[in-house]
Amino acid sequence: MATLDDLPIGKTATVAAVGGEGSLRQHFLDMGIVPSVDATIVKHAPLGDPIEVRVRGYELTLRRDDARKIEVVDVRDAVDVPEGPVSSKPVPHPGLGEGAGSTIAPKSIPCRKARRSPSPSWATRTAARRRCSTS
Amino acid sequence: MGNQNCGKTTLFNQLTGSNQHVGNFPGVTVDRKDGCIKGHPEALVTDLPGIYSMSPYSSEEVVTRRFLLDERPRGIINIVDATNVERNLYLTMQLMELGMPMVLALNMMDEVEGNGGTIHVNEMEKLLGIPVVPISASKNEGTAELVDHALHVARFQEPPVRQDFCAPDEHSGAVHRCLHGIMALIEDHAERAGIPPRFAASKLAEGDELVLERLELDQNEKDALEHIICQMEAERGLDRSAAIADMRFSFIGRVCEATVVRPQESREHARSTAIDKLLTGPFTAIPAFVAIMALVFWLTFNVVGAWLSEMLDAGITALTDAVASGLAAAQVNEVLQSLVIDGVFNGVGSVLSFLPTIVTLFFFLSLLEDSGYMARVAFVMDKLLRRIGLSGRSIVPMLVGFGCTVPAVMASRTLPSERDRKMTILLTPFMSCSAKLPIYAFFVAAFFPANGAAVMVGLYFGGIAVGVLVALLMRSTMFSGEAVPFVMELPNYRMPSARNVAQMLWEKAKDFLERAFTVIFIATIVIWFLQTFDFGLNVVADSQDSILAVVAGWIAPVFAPLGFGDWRVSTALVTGVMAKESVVSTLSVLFGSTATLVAAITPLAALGLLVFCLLYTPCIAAIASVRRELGSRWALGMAFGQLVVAWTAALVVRGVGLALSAGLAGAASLALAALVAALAAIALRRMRRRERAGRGGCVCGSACDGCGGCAATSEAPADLGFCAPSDSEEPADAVVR
Repeated sequence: MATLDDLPIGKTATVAAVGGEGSLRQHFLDMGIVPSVDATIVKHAPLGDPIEVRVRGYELTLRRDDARKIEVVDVRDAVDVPEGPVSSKPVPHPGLGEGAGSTIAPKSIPCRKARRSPSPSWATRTAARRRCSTS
Repeated sequence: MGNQNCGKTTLFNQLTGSNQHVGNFPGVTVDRKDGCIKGHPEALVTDLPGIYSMSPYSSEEVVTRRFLLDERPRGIINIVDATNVERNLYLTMQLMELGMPMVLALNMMDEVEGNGGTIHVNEMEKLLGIPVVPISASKNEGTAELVDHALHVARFQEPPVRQDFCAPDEHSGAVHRCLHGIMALIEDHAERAGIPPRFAASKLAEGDELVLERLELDQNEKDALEHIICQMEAERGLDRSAAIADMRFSFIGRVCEATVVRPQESREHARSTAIDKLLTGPFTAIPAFVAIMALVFWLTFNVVGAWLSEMLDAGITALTDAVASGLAAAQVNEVLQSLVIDGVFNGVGSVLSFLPTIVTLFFFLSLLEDSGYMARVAFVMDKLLRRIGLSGRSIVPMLVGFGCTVPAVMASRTLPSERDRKMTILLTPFMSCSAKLPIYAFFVAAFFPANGAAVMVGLYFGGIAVGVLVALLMRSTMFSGEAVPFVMELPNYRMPSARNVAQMLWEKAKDFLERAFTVIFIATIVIWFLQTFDFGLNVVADSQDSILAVVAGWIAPVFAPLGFGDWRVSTALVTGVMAKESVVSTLSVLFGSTATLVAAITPLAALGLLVFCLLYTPCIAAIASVRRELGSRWALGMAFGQLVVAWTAALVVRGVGLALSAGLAGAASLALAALVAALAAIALRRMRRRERAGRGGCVCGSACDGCGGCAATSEAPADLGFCAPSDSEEPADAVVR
């Protein structure tokens, strides 16, 4: 089966199995490399080792020897748009007012700073926050 | 608490201002910062090291777990990088399982929104069950609200509303049933051990040894536990740690899908990619690195550092003169005058004169670190450094060691693993520091006027070569075992916060000054005493009679085989422990003139002496730094070890020199000796490798009966019983404790 270090730059594949032992394996899992996640090879280091891999939207550095322990399937060309949640269109939310997502001019957070009176439970403050038009 | 690079330190600095105290977690080289929140003097906040998960492997993670379970903070502020929510939430989930009052701070919201993304905070609060506060630590936005929420949950001890993330319907609920089954099994043990049951259950399902130990289950319960977990593994088709990780990530995926709206590509990321084309490009990376380091050194030694040094020197001289005339006018006892002026002021003054260099080097280092460049350096240099058993991150502290060992040792704190830190700190003194340069220059001018440059270059490379050899030796003896995994994140380039850098500089400078005025102060007085008095406790007229000279005379025979057994040389070497510059000054004083020196030692001996100076014990400031990082035992060990290495190297130089000067026969015997040594080394390595292969050959996938000695080196995908995890961190920790 193909392993992560076999992939050329620019290819994406789906992780099938995570090898390694002990702290290395736990590290892989903790950093998000679990079976069924997609990984894209971004670049190699100038000396050939280590390699840079994009997983779940961020870049990780892996040594070739370690990458060899990750088995992958379904090799394909990477899409230009970085991996992200399926809905890149805004999720409409009643009462929150940020339905248009990226087209709203970002309002800065100080809006929230304005109402600062501590109340008995944070849930009440949450309700207060709903009135603000920023996320 | 939060991942590395998520802005924890920035937030901590915002919250506490300057009321911070930097300390150390006992037994490990992990920083601990405590402070009071500005405006809330009763609220104490602790900055824990950046971690990605609560696994039992690295010292940072272990220290954090111990802190949370034993010291029982009243609340947790979990900082999450909003540009990277998915991975950051992994830690969050483990923290929530602890059931402690918690607040989530979504940092870097300004970046997210500036790029057109957004996060539905209210929805996230509902799904997670804890307050979520968007902030921007660098702009100090939202921090007041964060403090309010944090103090509120801590005061009223409000635990997370939900701790149950395993979906009962996913994969026919295998993980769900497993975790609840374990919780039922261990609940009473967990209470007794003081560990929240859900957290314990999760960890046990992952195969965490530390938690298992603490629960003290009896054999029946352990068997039942194993049965439950094996059943889950069978149903899920994944081994235990992968199954739990997968459960967490699928929950996180659902949360992110509902709450995170990601922009196409963030500006910061695009910018980082562009910069990286230059700094990590295949042909430009290494030249760029060399250029940047050269710039740093040039700025430190020729520009900023030099200017600050001059100012400080002038200041110290002025002060010394003032005090000297003051004391003389007051007609204070002459001996006391000498103590104050020649002893204290001179000694401490010469060490203080390092301060500008140290601070400047450290400034540049933290600039590089905070901006994110260090991660790139590690990425580029890793392959080279792996050969000697270190990781790419160690290159920078070692390079800085060429300037001054003290900031290099301080910089080693940023290395990710305990083992790497120790090894790097022990190797740094082999990189010839700048204070030794006057020694080389002096000797080269006296003995090798024609080949000056060649000798100097040879010395520098020799130092590196010896360092590499020692590293290889250490790798196969003291620090054997697997290096900690090199799985590192490459964060976007960020503009380092001036405030953070200033704070860190202040802390390091304060630290160095403290050491200068304690350890070095005492050492100075001791040396002054030895130099000024003789055994009858009379002040000496001729330094030849002082205690120091006599003691040096006793030591001198040690150097006889090396060719420089003169008491004057050994005296100079001893004073070199104070500060390397003293070697030259002592030699000039004791010998009177260069001609006398040339007459006293042969050129070959001079070369040997140079090699000795290159490699032997570093100055007291460096030893004090090492002592602070690794403890007295290691510091003394290092001092002694370096003496041994220096002595051996000088002996080798003398041997080789004598052999070569004996003509062709000498050269032949030399070649033969080298061949024999090489063959012996190869034979030893072969033997070792065979031994290790024999041990690891029995992979305990099946029954563990055959291999009695398989405990330390392999971990089974445990179907039957637990095999000890290959934990290379534990031996190191045990040594330190």
